[in-house]
Formats: sequence, C-alpha cells, structure tokens
Amino acid sequence: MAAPLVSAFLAGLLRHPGPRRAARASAAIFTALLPFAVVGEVDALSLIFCVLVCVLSAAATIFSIGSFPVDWGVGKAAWSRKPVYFVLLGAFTSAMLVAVLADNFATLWLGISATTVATAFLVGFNGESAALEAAWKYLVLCSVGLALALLGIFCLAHAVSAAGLRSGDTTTWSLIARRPVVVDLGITRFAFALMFIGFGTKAGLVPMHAWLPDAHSKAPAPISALLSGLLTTCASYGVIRTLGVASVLGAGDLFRAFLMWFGAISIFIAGLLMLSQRDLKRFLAYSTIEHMGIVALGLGFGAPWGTLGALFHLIAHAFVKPGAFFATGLLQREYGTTQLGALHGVLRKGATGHFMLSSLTGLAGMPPFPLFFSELVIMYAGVRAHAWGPLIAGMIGLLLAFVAITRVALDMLAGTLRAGDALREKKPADRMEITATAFVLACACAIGVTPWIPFGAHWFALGRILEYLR
Amino acid sequence: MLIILLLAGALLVVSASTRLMLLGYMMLASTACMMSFPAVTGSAVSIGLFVIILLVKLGAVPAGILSFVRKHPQADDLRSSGSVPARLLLTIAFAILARMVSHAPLFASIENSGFITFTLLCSLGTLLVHRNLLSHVLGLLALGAAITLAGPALVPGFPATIELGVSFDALVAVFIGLALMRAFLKNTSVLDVENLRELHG
Repeated sequence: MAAPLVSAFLAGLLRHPGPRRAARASAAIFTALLPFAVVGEVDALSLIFCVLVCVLSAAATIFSIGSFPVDWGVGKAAWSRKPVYFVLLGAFTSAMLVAVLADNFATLWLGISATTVATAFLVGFNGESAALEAAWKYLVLCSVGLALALLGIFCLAHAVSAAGLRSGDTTTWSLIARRPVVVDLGITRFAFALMFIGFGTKAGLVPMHAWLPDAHSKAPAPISALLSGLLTTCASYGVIRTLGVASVLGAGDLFRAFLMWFGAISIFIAGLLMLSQRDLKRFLAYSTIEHMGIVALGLGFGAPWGTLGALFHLIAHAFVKPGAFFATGLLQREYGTTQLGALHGVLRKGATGHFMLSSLTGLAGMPPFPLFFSELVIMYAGVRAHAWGPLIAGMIGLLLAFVAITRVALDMLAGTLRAGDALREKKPADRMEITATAFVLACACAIGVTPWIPFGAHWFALGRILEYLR
Repeated sequence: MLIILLLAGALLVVSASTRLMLLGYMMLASTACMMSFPAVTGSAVSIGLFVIILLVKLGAVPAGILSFVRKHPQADDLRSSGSVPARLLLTIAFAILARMVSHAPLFASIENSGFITFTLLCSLGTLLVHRNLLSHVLGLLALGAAITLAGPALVPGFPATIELGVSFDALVAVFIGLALMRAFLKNTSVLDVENLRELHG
C-alpha cells in the first residue's frame, strides 16, 4: 500500500531530469500492476476498486510527468514544487489503497481521512487565492463530514458489541455479515445516518457537495481527474460497504431510502447548475455530482439491477471523467483558459478536440460509452422497484444534464476561432499526456463494449459482489 | 468535570480572542483525555499511544498555534459574527440540548452522551460563529476532542489505531490549516472568511 508513496519519494531523489522522469514513469507502471499482488487476498469488490485506484493513479502520474513544465504556479506556495507534487500524488494513491483494501470501517475511515492530507495541498497547489480558498473549503467540510462518519462508526461498533461481538471485530464487515446479530435498531440507524453524511460528503452528494466544484475546478487537471474519478469513487465504496452492513443489521431500507432521495436530489440540482456554468472544469465538477447521484440512486433501488448498475456506473465514470479532465488540461494549455466563452473550434485542435468530444459523449450517456448501459440498468431498476418519485426527479436531472452537455459540446467543439479567442503560444501536448488521455478513454470504450460479451470477466466479478450485497 | 466542560465550551464559542479560545480547547482536550484514560488497556502499546496523543493534543498543537499567533497578530482577532450575549445564549442552548440528548431513550445506553453532545455542538458552533480562519482550525480540534470523548464511551477497548487516527487528524488539521493560512497571508493581510467569496455558483 505504501509502494506508490515510497516509489514517488525515491524517484524524486534522482538528480538528473532524464532518469528522474523515467523512474517516475516506471513507478507509475509498477503502481498499475499492484493489484496482481492482492489477487486472492481481498474480496472481489475490494479488488475492483484496487484496480481502479492503481490504473487511474498511474495514468494521472504519466499525464503529470508530461504536463508539469506548463505553468501550474510553481513556487507560489511553500509546497508548489515538482518533487512535492509527485510525493503528494503518491501519498494520495497510497491513502486510497488503504481505504479500498481495508476489511473494516476503522481502516477504511483512516484511508479516506488520510486522502485529505495530500489532496488539500494538491488542490491549493498553484498558491493563488482562489485555489487556497478551494483547499480550505475542502479541508474544513471534509474534516467535519469525516468526523461525523467516525462518530457513526463508533455508534455502529457500540450497537454491535452490545449484541455480543468482540470489540476488536465490531467494525469488520465480513464478521458482522457472517454472524448476524440482533442490534438496537435506533442507535444502528443513527450510526448509518452519520456514516451516510460522512461518506456522502466526500462523495459529493447534495447538500454536502459545497467543496467539490471549487476543489475540482482549482486543482491541476490530473488532480481534478483523480478527485473526480477516484476520490468520490472511494467514498462511494465506503457507502457500498455501509449499505452491505446496514442490510445485514436490518437498517437497509432506511439506508436505501437515504440513497434514493439524496441521489435523486443530487442529479436534479447538479443538472440544473450545469446549465449555468461558465467554466469547463466547474461544469465537469457538477457533472461528477450528477454521476455520484446516479450511483446513489442505483444503490437505493437495490439489488440486483440497481446495485449492478451502480457498480458498473462507478467503474465507467472512473474512466470517462479523468479522460474529460485530462482533455481539459490539454485545452487549458492551448487556450490558456477554461472559460467556456473563450473555447471555440476545439474540434479543429486535433487530438485534444477528439478527446474532448469522446469524453463529453461518454458523460452524456451515449453509446458505446458504458455510462449509457449503467444508466439504462439503473432506470430499469427504478421501474422494477416502483420508486417513481426519485426515478422521475433523477430522470429530469439527467435530461437537464444532457441538455447542458449538448450545449457546451456544440458551443465549444463546433465553430471556428473568433477574433477575441487569442491562443497562447503553441505548446504541443506531450506524448505522455496524449498517451494517458487516450488510454483512459480507450478503457472507457472497452468497458462499454464488454457488456455484450457473455460471461465477461467484470460481470462475473460484479455477480460475486451482488451475492455479498444481497 | 461538568463545570470545566461548560467553561471550555463557553470559551470556544463566546470568546473573541484566539488565545482564550485556545485555552478553551486545552481545557476540553485535557478533560476528554482524562475521561478516556480509564478505557486505555494495560498494554504498553496502548499506553504509549495515549502518551503520544496527549503530547500531540496538549503540547504540539497549542505550541504551533501560539507561535503562529505571535508571528501573525491579526490571527488573534476571531472576528466573531453575532454579539457576545447572542453567542452566550447559543452556548446555553447547546447545554440544554446536550442535557436533552443525555435523557433521550435512544442514547440511554451511552455513557457521557450529554458531555459528548455538548462538545460536538460547541465545536460546530465554533466553526460557524467566528470569521477568522484560525477558528476553523480550533473548531476542528474541538471536534477531535469530542471524538476522543465518544470513542471510549461508545466502544471500550476500541482498536488503538482509531485513536491514533483521530490524533493524526488533529495534527493534520493544524498542519494543513496553518500552512494554508500562511499562504493566504501572502495574498491578503486579513484572515477572514469574507475573503473566501471568490468561488461561487
């Protein structure tokens, strides 16, 4: 778990830029292969999230190696230095690995909490007042949310230990699931409500989302990609584990109701706010809230279809959104801004334009991108569950988001450069940036195609997870 | 114990100076540590962890904040919103609410539920009523004290890692908070939440 952090630190010790760059790239590839080390050691759910963390962190590291020379405000704050950046990135990856490889809520909480250490500095990396403001909001809101989650974990442990489980085992989900106990439902429901608020804050569900648009829009592009594609995913992983235990302890209905309604509200509010955004990164950040809402909605609709759709949506979003943020990073370099009003004729920009088109198509939920299938499955689950209220609110939100994405895509991608759209001095994208962006979008496409392959590996894995969550 | 906690809560919410607020936090943290001490098991590891926690919460953290305030005198003014009587009333309301919680059947099985609730509410109040950014750091620290109180009360013999985690969180809040504040001071001379209005919508 410490491998990404240690390798980033060791690579930073090399003196010459060439070997240092090569060492960082090797460390990234090494990180991507880490899941092989835990096969058979952890359950299928942990393994899937471990793969997501390792592969996407590697892609972000590769992208960062390529894009770092571009002005990210290096030196403006005490920590705005290249070696610090890569160490923080390694620490972020290690913390997420701690979270997804944990077998109990205490360690899961420690991992998610530790991500704050690295990411607060990464969000405020460029040292400008807006970035510092974003980092501050992120620190305060997430710390409060996670403190409440910890209180919830304590309450859960209290309820379970009162029912006879040893104090050391009270937060281990596999043990709770294996030895179902009769608990005080009042305190258990209170515990799950607190845990929902805590993990929901980190996942960016409305109304605990205030930190997310600021942090995503002010962080460097690869960090925004990880915040959106991984951090919110890891927080959702916490929600999924909580849902599993809540179902075993008899509080599943309440937790699903929370998920359904907060999910639907998140989709609706995010869809509405996406219509009024003027900054591309902020627009994508609201899209993250929308997609986390879809995941919550799917989990709320319940197994088998809702849970399956939600898990598939998480995996798909984890690839599509980083692709969008990477493409935004490339655009930021070429145009010198992410203001939507200044971005025109992007499709004529070669690879960058095509990356942006692909990622926006994916985010809009169009085939062959996987979000199309997951949204379809989740809506089907809603119909089967007869949860008409959240389903209709969610569908209106989805429609609003679709309109917003289409409008942005047409405005930005089509058309020609206007007189006022002065481009920066041409700085062609680095090969590593192109590779990382193409890789995550290709992965997203591949995931979108595999549902049609019977007995696809990930469907098999998801099926095994369903057994646990049912 | 009750009087110390009430006084500490009042100092956190009502006082207009960072130094007084820090005193409130220290009273709160030391009370929380004292109340959680009986839950520390006899093993050398847990006693060692407890000592580390004590050193972090009552040594390193206050020293760091004091040195920051000495270097940046503007951090001493908490720039509270709302008058002193209003903040005092808020503290009294917190105390009443905490008493109600301690008598609620839902929390009857939890030891010190009133103390925990009061500490929790005061820490959240601290985050809301003061406009100086340093008050946010102190509010998060007070929240950590509430968790320290809650841990042993809810689950005696809870894994020591979590206690270490809470202390780590406190240290992180101070470390990151002060580092960000230093960077803020490079851009602006005032540490006021009013400055955090650039991002919206």
